[in-house]
Amino acid sequence: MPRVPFALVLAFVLLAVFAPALTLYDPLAQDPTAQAKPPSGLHPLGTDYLGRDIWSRVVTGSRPSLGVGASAMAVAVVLGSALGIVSGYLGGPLDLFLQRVVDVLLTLPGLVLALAMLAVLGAGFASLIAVIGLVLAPGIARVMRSATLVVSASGYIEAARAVGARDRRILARHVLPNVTATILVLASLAIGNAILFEAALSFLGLGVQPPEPSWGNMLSGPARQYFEVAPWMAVFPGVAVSLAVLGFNLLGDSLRDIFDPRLQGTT
Amino acid sequence: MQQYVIRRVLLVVPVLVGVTLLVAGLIRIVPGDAVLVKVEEAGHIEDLEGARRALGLDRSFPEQYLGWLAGAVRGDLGTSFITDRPVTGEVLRALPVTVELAVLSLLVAFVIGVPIGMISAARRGRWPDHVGRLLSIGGLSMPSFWIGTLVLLYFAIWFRWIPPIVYVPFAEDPVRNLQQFAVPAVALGAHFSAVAMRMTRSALLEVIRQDYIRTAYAKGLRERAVLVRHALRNALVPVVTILGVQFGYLLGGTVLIETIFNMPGLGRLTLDAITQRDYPQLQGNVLVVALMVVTVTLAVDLSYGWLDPRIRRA
Amino acid sequence: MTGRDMGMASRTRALSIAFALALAVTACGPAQQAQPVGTAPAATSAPTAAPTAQPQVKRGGTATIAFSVDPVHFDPHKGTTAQNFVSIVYDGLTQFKTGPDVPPGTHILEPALAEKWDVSPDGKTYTFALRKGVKFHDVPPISGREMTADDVVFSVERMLAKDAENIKRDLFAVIDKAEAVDKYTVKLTLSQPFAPLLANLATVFAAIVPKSEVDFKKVAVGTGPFVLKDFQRQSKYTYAKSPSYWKNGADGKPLPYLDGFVQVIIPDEGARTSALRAGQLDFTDLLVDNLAQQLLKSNDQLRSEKFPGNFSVMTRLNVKEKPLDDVRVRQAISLAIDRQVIANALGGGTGIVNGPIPTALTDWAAPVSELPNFKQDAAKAKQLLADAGYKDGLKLTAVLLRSPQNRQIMLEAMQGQLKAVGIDLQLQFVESADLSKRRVDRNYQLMGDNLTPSAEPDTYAYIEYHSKSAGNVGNYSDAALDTLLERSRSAADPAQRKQVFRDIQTKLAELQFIITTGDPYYHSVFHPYVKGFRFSFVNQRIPVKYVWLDK
Repeated sequence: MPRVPFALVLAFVLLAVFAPALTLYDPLAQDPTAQAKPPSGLHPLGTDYLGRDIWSRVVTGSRPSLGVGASAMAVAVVLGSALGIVSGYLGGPLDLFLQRVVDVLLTLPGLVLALAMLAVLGAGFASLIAVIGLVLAPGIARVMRSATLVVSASGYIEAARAVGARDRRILARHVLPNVTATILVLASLAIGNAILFEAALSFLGLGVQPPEPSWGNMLSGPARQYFEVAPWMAVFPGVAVSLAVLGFNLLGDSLRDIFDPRLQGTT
Repeated sequence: MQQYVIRRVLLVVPVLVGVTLLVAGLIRIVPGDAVLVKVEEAGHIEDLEGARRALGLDRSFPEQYLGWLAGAVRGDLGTSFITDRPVTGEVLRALPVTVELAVLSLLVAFVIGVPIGMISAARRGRWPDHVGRLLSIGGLSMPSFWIGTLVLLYFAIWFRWIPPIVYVPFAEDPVRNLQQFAVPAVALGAHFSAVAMRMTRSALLEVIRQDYIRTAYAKGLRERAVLVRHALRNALVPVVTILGVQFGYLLGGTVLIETIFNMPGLGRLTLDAITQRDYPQLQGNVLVVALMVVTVTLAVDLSYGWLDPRIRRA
Repeated sequence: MTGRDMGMASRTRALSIAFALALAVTACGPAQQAQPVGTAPAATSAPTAAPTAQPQVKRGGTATIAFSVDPVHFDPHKGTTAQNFVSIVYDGLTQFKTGPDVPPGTHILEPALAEKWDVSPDGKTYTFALRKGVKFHDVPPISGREMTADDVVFSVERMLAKDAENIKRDLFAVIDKAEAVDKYTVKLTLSQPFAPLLANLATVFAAIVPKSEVDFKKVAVGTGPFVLKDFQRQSKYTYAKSPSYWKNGADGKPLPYLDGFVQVIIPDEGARTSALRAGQLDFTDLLVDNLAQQLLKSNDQLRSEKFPGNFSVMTRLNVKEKPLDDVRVRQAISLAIDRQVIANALGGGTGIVNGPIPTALTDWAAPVSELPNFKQDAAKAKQLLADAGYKDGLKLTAVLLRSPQNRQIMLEAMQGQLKAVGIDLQLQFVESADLSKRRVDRNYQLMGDNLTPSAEPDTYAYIEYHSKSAGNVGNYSDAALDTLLERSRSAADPAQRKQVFRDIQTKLAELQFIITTGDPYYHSVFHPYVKGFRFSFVNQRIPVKYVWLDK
């Protein structure tokens, strides 16, 4: 079963890595004689409103989508887990304070953050990754906190403390292994969400700037006007996003089952 | 427990101040002049200073924010720059739409996701598990704005039918209202149902193998009883948490769906406030959303105590 | 130009005005002799009688139409967002003839609240004789009282108010004084002869409001065919017919034919189309060509009317800084691009190429083939660049909004075309609030923008380019051009005025301060039971008062 998601993810990763070699045309090359043409021998996925080859643009678009997705996920998971685990484990006033920070981040409209980030850092991958990471982190923090609370409340931690083990050791030996499964699930969800969020931001014009293709910006702007007459412009980028996210999500799901030692041998 | 609740309620205040302060500051960093938006074209610069003063934009940022905060405490959220109407009125108009959408979406998510998660956990490794996972993860993977656009387009083309395009409050015409909300709620809910399913399944799987479950089996309890009475309750902690988090995201994340399905909710109101640099409206919206989110968060935290006595806080 | 959709409203509005003026002004001549107007002046083509072979009008029913922008407020003299709303609830002194008997593209100025007008020989005094017995809507505190000269004077003073929100002041700034000579006569004194005046008075920005302390942003009370009954912001506006409208319909009874009318706010174009398909809307307008064709193909019951667009998507150049201060660079850009490709991409299918005055203004626009620097010539472009010192190429940045998307289409196309002559154009998307500020601060090299649509060529000429014009946001100035522009305002003879505009366009084509590109065709699409509907760019985007439903 894990073979399917592995294959899917691998396919997309390879697509992104070897993108320049896999395109049929320059993704930016306009062809006035072939504006909005349906899929054909010349253009397997059709062309857009300026005659650009959609296959080449989808392939090239995998780079920002996956690159930003993965990086943002890393930021979110590291930041969120740190916040959540520390909060849940140490408890007390630190917990209260950190959770308020999380609350603030949760309620902040992602759009405002995105705009401000763009203004401060300028358009580009750095600000995209920062925004998406910051938006996804609080959710992860809260779940990690609750998972840590459950673990902390179980017998192991008390026992370890009674024996005199130091916090760092407890965290490493007892807490982390028990929450790893949760982190894995969250990470796989996160990368999927990050890719979707990047698509949404590009859709709103805040992500990858045209004419550079990204799956999100291919679905927005002028393309929307053409959706009805040229549905291939709408379908393929959306399918690309869905398949990529599907692959990562399935993979995460399967990985979790594999790596969690506690689940081995279950009926 | 009492003390904890009181403390948490009091802590709502700094969160609200924190988030509105942050928003107020961030939006002012973003380039663009609220006055120019209002004036639309800049042919008459000599009048701009007067306009700026009328909006209070000639004062410093701390003055502007504190002035707003003082009003907010009294319940006066100020006047929108663009429409010249009270912010509170606009928010109250848009709030029911977004809340209804969020609640219905969560309902869909829960109703679809949790049972599938339970089946998947119970039949782990066998085909119901795979099918369940594929379906719900598939739903999770598709961008909701893409699905929304396609649904609207193709329903109209194939069935000559779309959800009612004009908002009707529930109180006025429940049938039409639900007709309008059905498709958007499913579009959003399908996305989150996968989350609910995943968390239920993984949490259940974790719990299932614990000792007290094996004890329950040993005692001869049937599977369903075991699942529901013992496993589910504990498994629900992370599920409830994540749904609480989702509610927060939902409240803030309805803007694309609201745009596509033409719903006059908070998402659209906030988006417009941002693009038009309508500072009071934006701050007011964020305040209200923040209030709702912290309330939900508090409820979730308190529910831990009920769901899992071991983590009840003194 | 706030927020997303720059107000399809304001564009169409202006478009209509543009059209109307185009013909009306040529027909009746600017600042001309008294034309005791009781009939449409110099109108030749339009039959005024009831159209032949048309079924009897049926009264009653409610029509639903969608607009993309919420009016925000109801004041006709402040800003442009209220435009569509205003045309339903208010009237002006003059209006453009619309209705089923007026072929599209024909626009004739006709009396509205003013029954007739006289113009003094020096062109500086206009005397209007008002229609008697016109009642305002029955909305407190006005409560249906009669319109008099005092109301008109009050309205004119509002049009002239030096208020930051009164952005259309330039249309009327030439008016020095407005006086009520008696209860039904108003005299306007101008500082100089001004050909566009009557047409400008036919715009929605010249709506007549009652003299009162009412806050017009919150209260809508005019003389129009419909009264605002109810509204939910961002959602829908409901109107009921006014019981005392001053104009009669084909059956001799007062207009409008409909009992009521609902205006729904749907910002998303796809949603509007879908709603029309599903029968939730009776008509929708300004569907771009390819969308409309698709809609019609899939639903052969729907009917449509096709119009050339008049939004004139263009690129504004910052001529105050290097490298665009060099006319050779600007000409090179103009020569490098292929405007027909851009026009085609804007709407799918075949679009229209525009010179400095949009081609849709058929009476004023010079044929593009006759304008210098409009025919694509990459070799010449490269040569000019080399002459200007950019033999090795040039890097430029263009700022633009994400919405409306026609600017993105234009600039993306230009980007590809400019690469061929060595110009590397980068696109930078900004928000509308940011763009407004950049326009004022002149903080850009190229900017994707629209010309302010209008029926009057003056808006595309003097207002945009004269060095002393308040509307000249680009700070353009050229002495020879200024002289021509001044002459265009004062030219008495229509033929002479036309020639002056020809010269202006040629000069603008040489200077290339603004690179105009093109427009797509648009359609109004409606269900077959909608009758009497005749889309008009003029004044009333949808002349709802003439609409009746055959069902």
